[in-house]
Amino acid sequence: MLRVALPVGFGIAVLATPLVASGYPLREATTILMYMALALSWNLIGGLCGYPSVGNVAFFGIGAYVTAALVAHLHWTLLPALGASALAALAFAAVIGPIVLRLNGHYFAIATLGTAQALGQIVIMVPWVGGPNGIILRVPIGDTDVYYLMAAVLGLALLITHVILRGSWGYACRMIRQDEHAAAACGVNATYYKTACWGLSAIVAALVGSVYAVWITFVNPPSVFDPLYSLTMVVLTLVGGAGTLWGPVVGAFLVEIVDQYLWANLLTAHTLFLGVVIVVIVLFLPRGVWPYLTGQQGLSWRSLFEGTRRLRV
Amino acid sequence: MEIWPQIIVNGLLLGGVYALSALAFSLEWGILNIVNLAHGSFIMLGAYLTWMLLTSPLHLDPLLSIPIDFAVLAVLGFLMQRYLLNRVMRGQFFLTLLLTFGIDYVLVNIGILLWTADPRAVITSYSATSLAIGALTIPYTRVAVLAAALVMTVALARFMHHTRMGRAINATGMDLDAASLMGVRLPIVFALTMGLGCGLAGVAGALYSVNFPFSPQIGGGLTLRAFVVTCLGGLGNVYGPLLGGLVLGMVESVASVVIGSGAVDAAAFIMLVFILALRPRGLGGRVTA
Repeated sequence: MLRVALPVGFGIAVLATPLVASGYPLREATTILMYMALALSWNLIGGLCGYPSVGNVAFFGIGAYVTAALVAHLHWTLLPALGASALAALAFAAVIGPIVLRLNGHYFAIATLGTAQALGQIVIMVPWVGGPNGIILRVPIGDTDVYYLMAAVLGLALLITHVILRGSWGYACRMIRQDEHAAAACGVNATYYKTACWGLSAIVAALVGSVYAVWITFVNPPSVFDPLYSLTMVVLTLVGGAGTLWGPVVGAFLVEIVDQYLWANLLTAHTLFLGVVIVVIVLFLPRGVWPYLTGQQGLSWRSLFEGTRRLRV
Repeated sequence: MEIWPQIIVNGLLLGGVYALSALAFSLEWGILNIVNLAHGSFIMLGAYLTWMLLTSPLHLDPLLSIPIDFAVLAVLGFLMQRYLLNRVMRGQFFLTLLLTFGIDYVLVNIGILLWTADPRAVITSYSATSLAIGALTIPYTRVAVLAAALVMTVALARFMHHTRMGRAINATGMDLDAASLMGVRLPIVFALTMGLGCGLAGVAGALYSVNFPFSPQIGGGLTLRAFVVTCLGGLGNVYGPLLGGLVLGMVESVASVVIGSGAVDAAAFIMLVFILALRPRGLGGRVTA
């Protein structure tokens, strides 16, 4: 029931939104779709394989910058520029992946963070892409078109995650997450699967970055290499439930709705809120809200404390 | 080139700042297996505490505020570990990483609410004074940081090896369950270790405030540099941060002259990724499970 009703219902809701919303509400909806796709991007490497990247903003930034440079400087049309952005991010992932995916735990997290930070700093020093001033690009495209582009990227991210989770690839990822040595001992080519997930994660984040650049019409290093994007991806995924198909989507929806409400009403509290959400989620819902929504886990006052009962000292 | 002696001295003095600020980070990581992303924000709190004590009616000298900073932040660190981090200590490392990130976020935003995002500076009668040896200029406040880094490192090493509490902390770092079976009360020892770490971060903050302007957002950069320093110096060695700090300070000092001051951050991050590419556990890193 849920397996059919949920994708169909979600698809109809996403496709129908521009019919009832325009202007500011439609842009809010686009933002939510963007964060859903970003959360799914992180989920591919962090949730499925257990490799907690804190540098996925590098791919987002590459996507945004490549699209902006191709459209503004070389006068490419939009769709080829999107494809080139995805390929550029994939190439970067292929170069950096063999280095960082050898690391694990804290070292992987910080190496990805360092890579993204260094990339942002290097972009500032390249005059062709405007250095610290960035690039202004103009694509004749309306809000509704941007919305559907973002929805298409989200659909692609869902499709990729679904295909991975459905087959042996998903089992391989789960084994890598739980014990990489044991997975290798069982004949799972861990390097192959985690590198493939890393590349797909890069493609999704880059496509989101491309659409974002076209939408905002301006990119500069502080805005598209903001480490906050990397961290938001992590938080949204964990709120929903890492390693699941719909968890990141639900998490992105919940957090962004509350976040946009706070942003509109209590500007100073909105970043403080994100910090408090992270602390509460880690302590009380280490598996996210998705197990509660599917009924795998009954909701009770005690279950909130069960989550970390075996983890404490 | 006549400026090279000055560049090397600057590198050493900058290295003292990094060594002091990484000392506690390395302790927490080595013993508790926590990469404390809130570490830089504890340094920030120390700096603001010093600033508040100086601008309060007490007009307390920054150097005299060091013990107060240590005590206040040690209590904060103790409570943070006892009531938040201890709950997930046996979980995946990623839970503690994320939890400290959330705490960091809360601390930064509380800092902005309390003190605004405007940069502050601690100005004293000896702020701009320096020792001149020939063509060399050596600011006294930087010398104080380097001296503090040396004293704190030696004091921490002696504490860890020669006191009952230090040995208990060391033992939990080696094997949690074995230490527990020997009668070490883990929740308390973990909390004391984090308290000690945050207290040291407070000391670093007091000395940071007399050398650099600061705002609530300085923490992130300090935490990242503490990570680089710890990787350089190697985990599980009390003298590691001192070595790593001096190397990083030297590299940054040279990079700022050779490539330009805008490239200093990129140089630090690229060095980090290269070190990890060649030695996935850091330069002097021990192998852990």
